[in-house]
Amino acid sequence: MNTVARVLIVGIPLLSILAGSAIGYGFGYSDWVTYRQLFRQQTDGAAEGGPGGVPFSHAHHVKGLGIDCRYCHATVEQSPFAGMPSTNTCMTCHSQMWIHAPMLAPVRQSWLTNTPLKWTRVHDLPDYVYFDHSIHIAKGVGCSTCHGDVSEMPLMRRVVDLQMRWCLDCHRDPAKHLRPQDQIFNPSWVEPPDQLQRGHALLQQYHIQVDQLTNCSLCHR
Amino acid sequence: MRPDDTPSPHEHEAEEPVWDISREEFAPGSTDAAAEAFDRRTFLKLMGAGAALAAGAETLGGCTKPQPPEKIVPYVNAPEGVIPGVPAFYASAIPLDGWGHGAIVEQHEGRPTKIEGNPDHPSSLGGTNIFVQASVLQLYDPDRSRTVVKLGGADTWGNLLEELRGILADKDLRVRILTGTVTSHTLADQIAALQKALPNLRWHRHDGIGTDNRAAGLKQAAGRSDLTPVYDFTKARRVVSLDSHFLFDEPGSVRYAREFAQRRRIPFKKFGPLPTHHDPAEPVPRSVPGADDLLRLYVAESCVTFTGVMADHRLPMKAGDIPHLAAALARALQGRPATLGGDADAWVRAAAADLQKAGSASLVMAGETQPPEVHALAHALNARLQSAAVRYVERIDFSDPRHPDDSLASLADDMNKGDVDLLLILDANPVYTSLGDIDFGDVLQRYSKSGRLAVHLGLYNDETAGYCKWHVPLSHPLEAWGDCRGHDGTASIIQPLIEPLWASKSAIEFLAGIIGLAGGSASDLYANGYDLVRRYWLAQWQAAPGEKEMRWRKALRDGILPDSAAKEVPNLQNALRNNLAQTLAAIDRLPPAPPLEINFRTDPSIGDGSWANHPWLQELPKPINRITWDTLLLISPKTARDLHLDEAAQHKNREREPMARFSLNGYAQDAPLWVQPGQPDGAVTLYLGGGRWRGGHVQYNIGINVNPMRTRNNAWSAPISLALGPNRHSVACVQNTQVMADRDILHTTSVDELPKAHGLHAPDLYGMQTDTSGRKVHLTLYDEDRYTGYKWGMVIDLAACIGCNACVIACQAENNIPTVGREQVLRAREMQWMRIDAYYGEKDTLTADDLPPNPRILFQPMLCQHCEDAPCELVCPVGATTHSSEGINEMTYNRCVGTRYCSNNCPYKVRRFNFLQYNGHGDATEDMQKNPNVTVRSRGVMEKCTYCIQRINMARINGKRDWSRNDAAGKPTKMRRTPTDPWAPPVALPQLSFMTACQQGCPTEAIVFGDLNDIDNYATILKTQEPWAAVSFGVLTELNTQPRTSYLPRIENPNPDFHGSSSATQQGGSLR
Repeated sequence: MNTVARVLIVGIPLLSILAGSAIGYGFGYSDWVTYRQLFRQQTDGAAEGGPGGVPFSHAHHVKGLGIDCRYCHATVEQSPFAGMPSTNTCMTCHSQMWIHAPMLAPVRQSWLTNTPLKWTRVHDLPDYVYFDHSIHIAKGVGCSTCHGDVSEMPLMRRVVDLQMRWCLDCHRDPAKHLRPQDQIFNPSWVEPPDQLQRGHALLQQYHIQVDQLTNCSLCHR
Repeated sequence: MRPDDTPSPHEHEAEEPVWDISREEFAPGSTDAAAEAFDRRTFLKLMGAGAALAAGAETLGGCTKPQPPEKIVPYVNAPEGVIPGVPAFYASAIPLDGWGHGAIVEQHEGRPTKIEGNPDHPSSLGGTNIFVQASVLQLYDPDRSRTVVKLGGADTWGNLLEELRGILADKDLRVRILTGTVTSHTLADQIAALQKALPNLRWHRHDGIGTDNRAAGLKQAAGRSDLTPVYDFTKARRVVSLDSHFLFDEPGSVRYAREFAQRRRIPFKKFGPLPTHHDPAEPVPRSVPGADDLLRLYVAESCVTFTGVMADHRLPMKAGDIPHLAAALARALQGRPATLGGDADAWVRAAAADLQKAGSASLVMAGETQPPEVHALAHALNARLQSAAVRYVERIDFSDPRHPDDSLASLADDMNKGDVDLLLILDANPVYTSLGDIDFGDVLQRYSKSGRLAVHLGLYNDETAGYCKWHVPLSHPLEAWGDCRGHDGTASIIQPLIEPLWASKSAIEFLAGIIGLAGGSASDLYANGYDLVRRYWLAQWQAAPGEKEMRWRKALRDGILPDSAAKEVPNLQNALRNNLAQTLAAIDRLPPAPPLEINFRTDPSIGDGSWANHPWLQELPKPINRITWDTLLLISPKTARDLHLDEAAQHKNREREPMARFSLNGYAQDAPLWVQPGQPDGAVTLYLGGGRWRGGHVQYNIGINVNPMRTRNNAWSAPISLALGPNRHSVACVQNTQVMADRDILHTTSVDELPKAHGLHAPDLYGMQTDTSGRKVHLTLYDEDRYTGYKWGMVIDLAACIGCNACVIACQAENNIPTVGREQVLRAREMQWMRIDAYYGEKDTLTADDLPPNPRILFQPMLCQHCEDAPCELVCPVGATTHSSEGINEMTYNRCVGTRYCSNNCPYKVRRFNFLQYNGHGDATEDMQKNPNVTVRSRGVMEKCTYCIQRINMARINGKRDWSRNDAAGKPTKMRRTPTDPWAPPVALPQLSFMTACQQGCPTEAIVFGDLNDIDNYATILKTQEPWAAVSFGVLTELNTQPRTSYLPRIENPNPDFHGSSSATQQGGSLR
């Protein structure tokens, strides 16, 4: 009896702590916490004075119209920051088409009043992480590896949790995700069955030093 | 304004337990009293509660909670050429006391954040000084004046113009313009135009420090005042300085420092702007200079300066005696032995013999604080020696051609006589900087009270603005167009990086308004600086319009106007040399020095006080004595004892340093005493720049305003008597001991020892040992072939380091380092990642009680050494400080929990802890200076030098990105050449060319940084190739830390025939 009681006295709290920790740990990486898959209003409606923001559809612009990523995210090959389109960029087309569409009212408002649009950042890294788009593009990491297939997204959402372990997963073994340069901006690229083999060849081709990719100072400085 | 009106910085302090630095490791207050009152029980209770809270927070996602939603705000119309996230660089110039210093300004999306030297500018050659580096924060100073002020209330430029319009209708109006030194062509042209419109206009000039003695001396010597001397230390082998701090206070000091250092070290490259890599097609210049080639410096000085620290023979001497020393030197050159007594005779004999022998490679410099006669003598001596190191050019700064007496004194006289109707003060603060017997504050107050008009244009609503009816904010050089000339006359366009932050006017825009009222066109009233500068320069050029446009654009791009240097004036030698006898007679008539003199000197951090509101500069430890936030009375150990101020001599208690009481020119004053070895006996020094009382909140309650105590006859030195005062004062000094206590911290060598130095102390640089197979290996447990990629390392050449602190401010600007304030410095919580340690004597057993009267003083820049076997990494419980595959000792702020174990275990004491929230409490404008590529650290986080990891990452990303692109395009990439090491072959990588902030800011190229796996990098050459490798050393390598930062020894070149105690090498024990 004593033994059972002792085991229970120690065991029940221990087990509940373990179980609690496991649940808590899992919860910490779950979509409830990371807000993965969450749809967000695209621009700040209030700032534009309208009832809602612009419901920008990547599906329409990328899949429907076939516009290249770099038409709007113009600095993605040169800068840490991929770049967001200026109102001018929107107006290159929308001064000619859909010129009376109510959902584009904030864009026209911005154009007329010379007030920038305010877009909600969907992929928001902590401020102590210094991510550089240009080097990822140059080294064979395509847009959709991190941003998902935006050509299927009527509204933008995040498909990865952006936790550090997710970054490290690739930084420890990039071969899993590398693709040839002509596929970088293909949002619907799928890994071929022999990806690992091709990836290792690409590692060589892109001169990627894997040992250096897990230095803390690579991203934190 | 009387100094006793100023708020006294020296309050009585409550009795506190005496802190004995020899017993206690940490300064009082550096540990919290509350923590000590903790008992075990409380600790456990709080621990338990804390753990529960932490667990709860974790399960609720407290540690992984996403950031609040963030907005991206793109442009409406993207400006051409701006790539968000990529900094842009623009050439400009920063005028300091009117003299242009070429600059390359870094700008992030419209915010200037960092200033570097312009390699193409002759006054800079890529180097900077503390003021160039600091001026970027001055732009954002929240205390800067923001609006036009009339009689204390906000007003507008338009209303000022209306008021002036009525007055300026009278063409006979007696207008006076008061400026500092002006080297701007556009401004001088405007004043000339105004003089045509208003014939009674006179232009006066006044500077806080100025070049009055220098100019008067040259006029005495040459008989004309249209000359400016330009020095060239690369042509000098023997230099004598007569109280001249030429590495700091000459218009060309940044360049002179580069030239001087080139002649003081084993040169590794040709003189000129720094490339980071050696051209493999050329041989490495390996010649070790001999005693004849190496520059030998003799300095006689009345206050310890870092120029004096660099001397081989330094003679501390009262300022009043230096003219007679100069005369003795001149006579010794004529063969008459000196009879001054003491060490001076030997010094004079050695210096004269050396100058004579060096002939045209000799140079005599006199300091601004010496009377004009000494300057005249120096010019005469240089002419007699046919020195090639000095040339005379047409006068560079501009002045009133019609009125030679343009002094502040003559302006004050005329104002008192009522001869002035309108006074325009442009970028000057004469109420603070005027001497006591001019007392411009009083003059201006009476002038304004009598109903006459004074208009002040300045960065701050300062002391002078307070006595003027109108004040107009001045635009900072980073936000307004302008032009200025460098030390050799080379003109630069000042190119703004940002629109004016406030409703400010530049000097040329201000004067354009006045011109507009005095007969110019109405468009001048609101003229744009760009149009004014451009109009002036385009009018100067004889060329087709298209050609002019090209020249203008090229000038903006390059930062200099080609061929604009002042023309040399030939055939002055005879005129200069013939005055010698006359000058000697004049010097003999000068009185001898008083028994005790006080010397007023430019503050090495805040200049004449115009930088007093700058927190970086106030917190910058002054060279040599390492004091921050203060003005102290520097006194020699012997004088302190003679005057029975012994307690001061002991430095026992920096919390309660004694204060001296003295009176001067009718002002009684208390000043904290600081015993400064190297200070001449019988002379004390007080720095300018303290006691500011208007214009900014940083500068209040710091130091003493000495200007009222100075008079025209005693502007730089005055007789004085001192006594111990009743008060005490705490001194925020950042270096607790300046003796090396028999530790091998830094090396010096004499030039004669250099050829023999091979193997003297170097090869153990990295703890190398030979194993059984004869291979050289490190004493380490780590895997040795891990550094095959980039391998970063640094070399600091102590032979070239002049201790000027430019690197410290450069680091602060680059790395978002906060200032902490005087109280926190007193608790030893300063945050600078870099420091310039100063030691008295080399490897000796000096104690703080027994400081030598004239020690050899040695500088050692100290920053994170990036040890390969770093003690800090082993003790971090959370893995926040780790080692990268490139050899960087990384600090990951978001992991740090603030145990401070790492700092405790660091033998170099280079880690800094955010005890409080030092960052982020600044004004919004101040935050605009922050480098977006460096984390702004918050409270509870350890930080330290990162070898500028943001610059490394940017260079690596750019290099590797271009490599891939070039591969794809079939273009070649410039690859590094790696050492042939069959054991651990470095991998092929592109050659990266960039500099760390300290390296780039350094005026003397004393800091060299680079990839040690790239054999063409200068850092690799200095670490691995002879003759440098033989003398290279690491600090505390006996701990087997294997630092990545190594040092080259200070090289000294004493005169072998010198016998006297002022020799640098005779004070500090044996030569290594």
